[in-house]
Amino acid sequence: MPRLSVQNLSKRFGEVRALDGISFDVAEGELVTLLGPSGCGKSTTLFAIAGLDRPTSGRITLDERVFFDAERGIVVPPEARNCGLVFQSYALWPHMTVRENVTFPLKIRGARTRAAAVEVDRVLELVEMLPFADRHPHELSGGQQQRVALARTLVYRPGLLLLDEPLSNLDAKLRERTRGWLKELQSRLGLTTIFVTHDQTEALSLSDRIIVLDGGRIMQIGTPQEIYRDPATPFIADFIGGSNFLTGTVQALVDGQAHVSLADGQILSVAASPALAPGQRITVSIRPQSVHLVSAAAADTLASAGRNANLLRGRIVQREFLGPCYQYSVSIADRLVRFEAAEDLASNDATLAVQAESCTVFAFEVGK
Amino acid sequence: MSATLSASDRGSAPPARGAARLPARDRLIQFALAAIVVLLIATALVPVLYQSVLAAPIYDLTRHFTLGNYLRFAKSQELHAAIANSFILATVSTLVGTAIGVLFAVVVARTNMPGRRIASGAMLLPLYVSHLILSVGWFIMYGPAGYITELVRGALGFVPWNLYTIVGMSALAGISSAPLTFILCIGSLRLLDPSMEDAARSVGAPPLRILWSVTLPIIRPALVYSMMLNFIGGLEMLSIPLIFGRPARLQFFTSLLYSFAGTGTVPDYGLIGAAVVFFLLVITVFVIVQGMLLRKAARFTAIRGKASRPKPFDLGRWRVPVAAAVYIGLLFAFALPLAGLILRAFVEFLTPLMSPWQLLTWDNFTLIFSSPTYVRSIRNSIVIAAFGGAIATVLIALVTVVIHRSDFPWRRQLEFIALYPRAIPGIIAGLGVLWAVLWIPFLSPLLGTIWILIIAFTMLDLPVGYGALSPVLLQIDADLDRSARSVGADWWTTCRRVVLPIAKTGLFSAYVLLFLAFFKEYAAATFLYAHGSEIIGISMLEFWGIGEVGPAAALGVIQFAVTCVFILAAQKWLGVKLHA
Repeated sequence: MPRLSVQNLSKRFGEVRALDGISFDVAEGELVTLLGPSGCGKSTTLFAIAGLDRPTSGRITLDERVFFDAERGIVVPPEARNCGLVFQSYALWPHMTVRENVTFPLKIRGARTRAAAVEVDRVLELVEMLPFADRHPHELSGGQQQRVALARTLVYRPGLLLLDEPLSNLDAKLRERTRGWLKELQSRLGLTTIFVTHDQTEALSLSDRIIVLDGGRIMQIGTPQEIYRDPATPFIADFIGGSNFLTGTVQALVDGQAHVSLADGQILSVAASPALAPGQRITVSIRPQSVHLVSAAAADTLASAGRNANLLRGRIVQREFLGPCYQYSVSIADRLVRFEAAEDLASNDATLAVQAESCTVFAFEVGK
Repeated sequence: MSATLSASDRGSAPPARGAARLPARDRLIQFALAAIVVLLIATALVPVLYQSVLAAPIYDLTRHFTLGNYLRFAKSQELHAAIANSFILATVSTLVGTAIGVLFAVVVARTNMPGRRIASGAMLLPLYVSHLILSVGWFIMYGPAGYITELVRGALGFVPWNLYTIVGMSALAGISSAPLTFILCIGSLRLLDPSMEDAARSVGAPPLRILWSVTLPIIRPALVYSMMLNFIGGLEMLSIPLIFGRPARLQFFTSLLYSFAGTGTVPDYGLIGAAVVFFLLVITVFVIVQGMLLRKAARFTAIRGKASRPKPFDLGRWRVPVAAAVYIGLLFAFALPLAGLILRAFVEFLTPLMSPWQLLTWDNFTLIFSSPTYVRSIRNSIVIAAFGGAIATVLIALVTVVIHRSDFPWRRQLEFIALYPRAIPGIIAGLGVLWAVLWIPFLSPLLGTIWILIIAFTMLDLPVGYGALSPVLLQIDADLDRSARSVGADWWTTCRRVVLPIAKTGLFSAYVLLFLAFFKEYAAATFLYAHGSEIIGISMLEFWGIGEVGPAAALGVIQFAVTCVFILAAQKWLGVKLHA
């Protein structure tokens, strides 16, 4: 039984569709991430669930409770939804101390002063902010403000925790630490959580499931592993984990492998899928990690041995020193393949070995 | 309908009790606030509209519908002449006031003239002082028998100006409206990206060319807006038409209406109603045209935030001459007339022929403080400003929150209505409210109380308060109230506990502005005051009407003193900074 159910949610501004038929479920205790580039509709979806944004059509329910139903004209105001929304800006009220900020939701709910104080202390303890209870928000660091914002939502035990890019205003180190802390807290409290981010690392490390959005539509729903290993579109492959794309035509299907001929005549072998047929134009996605440099000597040895090592030759266009390794951009059949390698290659030409099983194949789309 | 909750949905509602308790409360409050605004403005406008199509006075039960008033208005040459004069005055004063105001603003904001801060402060002070005070000051110094007039006559044998002409009066009206242009333009000028001017210089444009082709077009929104306000200000101006127009036998629309105010009645209700409706229609057209000109322009740039202080333009060897011109201008336009007013209040009469030290007297003040009526008028002015200003601040703050921070379905329309009183001259508002009271019997207890003045002033100054509070609310991050909503507070609780407390400093500023606006307003009171509800401006006009310049000046001094004390106190204790 899903707790949250979002059905066919759409939002239009005149001709523009900010959301275009979004549907998904979230189970009890699950952490689901809405992931996508800016303008993809992830925050709009989150705010629609919180009640702060009004979709044009669709339906949102939590358990048996209808939050929004365009057809029946039901719009529950945000204050009656009991969702806990942590804003990207934290939105702590500057005229109240930390304690007052966190007490406010309890006062709204008519809690007794003494009971509220106990509860507030407990939650501030939980987010390790109790020593700062009497400070004002402007006296806190970004990370501390973020904890207070979280405490302010946890204190009234929300039915749903909604996080709008809560880590994006923290510096890189703190972000990593907070990420772990947040995940641990979420699973310890068993909170059903929706997390909005444009950061694929956050999404991969935190989520039970990821929903990838682009242009107001859901592109793919799956576990982090599924999304990474089997991206549904080239966009997802590139957006999550990064990817290089080569286009070509399927020449033959041999031993569970497809031989793809590229524009410059080189042949690339990839894992065949039942959908492939000879003559088909396809796009092959290759993760940078699956590309390795092969020295000229080794390449010759492999070639003369007649083994299909899946080698591609190209011209090095750019070489950047990153510290532990170099980042190479190699031009193959008018496409750039980027990857990192420890070797410092002096020549202008390079031979690359590509792991056939780690390539993903997509039907060719014009313009991609 | 938004915010509807069917019973079954509410059944499983989690414990956000405060919110779920009264789902309709928010909308109810929003409607109530909108209704108050609409009622306030309707009170001033509807009686006038109604009267304009009635054959008898509005209180007369034999009244019946007619269009005859408009026909008679079409033929009334007296009214036409008065309205024409008003338009001439408004047009010329707008041109004069805009030219002076923009020049001052450019010099203060964009050049390295010495003493810019003092010049800016001196230019702003007239904004907070009644036009009546300035007009009396000008009369005392530059009138036909004025102090400076006599000095010049003695030195030259003739006087090169005559303020008993429409050109002279328009020039004065222009000077009195220049501070408004100044304050509206200086904000935009300070926010202007200096690199735009630098770019023009680097392509070889001389400074005046840059001013004309780059700077002024960029501040066009502020310029157009201030011109519209000055034009309306010229149309509704009462002080200069009364003080200079009457002796010169020049009738203006406002002074014509004023001539009926003293008698408490109007000779021809229908005709005046029709003329007022015509006058209002013309102003409304101007407001709408101005709105269309600035449709998308950021309306509040004049008062928004602080940008990096741009590099001022170096005047070089012109620094001192420009500063001298600015200070001499300020001296003759504002400082000397104010000094003359103060001096006049303490002497029997003022003439260059005798040293004022020989004529020193407390008589003018004794006269005022020995009369209960005049003491009461001072007390009433202060009570209306302090108390009425507070009521107006609260009302306008809530209305502004509805307009900017709610999902009230008619908030755009509410904004238009709240800003509409810009188009209502004070004296017409007074007439309208008076007729409302005469027309609707249960309103009559208000007559002769200061409440009716508070109502009229609140209506008139809705745009002042809204203009002060809008930018404050727009600066508050919307996430702050959205987060309050998401943790369970309804709209009304969010307003009271989050939005308004954060806007506290802005509320104080708005209160100070409204206090000063209420304190200097007098035109709207001319039809509404009665024995017991006099205010300072009314008493001043009374003295003026019987030729008692000394006591009128003394009242002016008292009003000016209270204004200055209040501004200083507000800066010290409320931490309010008036624009500079």
